[in-house]
Amino acid sequence: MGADIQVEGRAAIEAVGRALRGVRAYSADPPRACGAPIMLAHFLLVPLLAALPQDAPVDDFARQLAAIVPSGDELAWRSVPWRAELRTALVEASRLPKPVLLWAMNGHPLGQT
Amino acid sequence: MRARRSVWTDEAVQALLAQFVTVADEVGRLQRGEDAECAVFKSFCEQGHYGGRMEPTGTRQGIYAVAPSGRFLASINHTDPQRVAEMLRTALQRWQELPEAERRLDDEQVKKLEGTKRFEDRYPGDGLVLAEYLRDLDAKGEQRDWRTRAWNEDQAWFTRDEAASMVPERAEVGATADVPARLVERLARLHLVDSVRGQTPSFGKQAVVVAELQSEVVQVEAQQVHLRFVGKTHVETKGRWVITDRGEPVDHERGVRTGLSGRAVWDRASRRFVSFELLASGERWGATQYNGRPADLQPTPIGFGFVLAGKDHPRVAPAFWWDYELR
Repeated sequence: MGADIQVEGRAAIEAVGRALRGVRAYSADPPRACGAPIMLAHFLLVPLLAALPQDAPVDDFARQLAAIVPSGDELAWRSVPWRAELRTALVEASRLPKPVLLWAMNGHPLGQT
Repeated sequence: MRARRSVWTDEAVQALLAQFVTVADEVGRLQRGEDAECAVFKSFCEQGHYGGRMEPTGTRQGIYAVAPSGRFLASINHTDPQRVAEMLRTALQRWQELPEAERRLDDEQVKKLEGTKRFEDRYPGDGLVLAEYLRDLDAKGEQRDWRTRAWNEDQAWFTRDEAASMVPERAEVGATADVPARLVERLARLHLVDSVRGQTPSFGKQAVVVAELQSEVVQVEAQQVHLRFVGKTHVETKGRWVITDRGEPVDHERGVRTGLSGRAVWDRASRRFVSFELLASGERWGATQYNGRPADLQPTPIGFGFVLAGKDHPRVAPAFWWDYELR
């Protein structure tokens, strides 16, 4: 899929999302800092947009999916570069060296809580 | 959870976080486990905000700042960005005051940490990993009420062989395949659960009423096979359990019923899905202790969306990883 198609498809999903939830479906300005733009592109938008046929309006399936997948605003907290395992963070931090900031919850904070 | 997440978008907090190696992890395993990673956590968490506390719960949830050596610097369990920022500044001050020799791990400690085992070690990099999201459909209520806008997430994992078993043998339009029942049951029991507002237990095998999913080839383009998925699930259970935080057990029932639809593209050369989208929409009913449904016991609409997880998606074990039978 070309970049132009992706832009059009993303805009269509944004419009549907806004109408459905009253919030922006995807932020046109990705959250700050390193990980978020890449994450949004890779694990939210690319698979969604790749499935849209060229020149087709957003179909009902895409509309329903867009109503569930979180928006850029809802994922803004992921702009922090969270490692997902304490063990790797400790080893990485020791090599730098830097202190470690651990966010620990019942249910993984980057998964189901 | 929504309030906790908002802490991390505060500008002052983000500026301070840049001076740390930031990590998120599941506290239950860290508290109960016996390996080197859990031992480090247990060595510092008791010096923190919940140290020694067992009532009302024994949780050690929170935000901890530590030296890589495990030396405790500061901690807090709060959603106020100003309080969190204050804790981070305290931690950085203590880090500066900490002798160099007490900051790092020694070689033996690194070796032990790198030798720990986690379910994440079984990440099916050559299989199928789906990012899952769920939320109420047609949620009523004020937008400013977190329950109206609540959502949760998870990951669904499938090995290379399990992913391949979802694809019809013949790459011909109209060819169909029944996705193996145990994989659909994995979705129904472990993923199509009502955790929109908070954690909830999975469903046992005996709770499965229906778990069906079929794939059909709709188009073949060179090495790429385009598939359509259709199916349904229904899980329900009755028993006696607590349905409000700190309540008493009551006779109750809960369940989830969904219709499944999806589309995917299978690449025959690499034997992998290059796109995958699955939608499960239906209704949930009942409540559990922590899933925030005491006023929503009757059936209400719920939706689950699964999309292919990108290579930068966090590698986090599925919520009910202990019930996974990856083959």
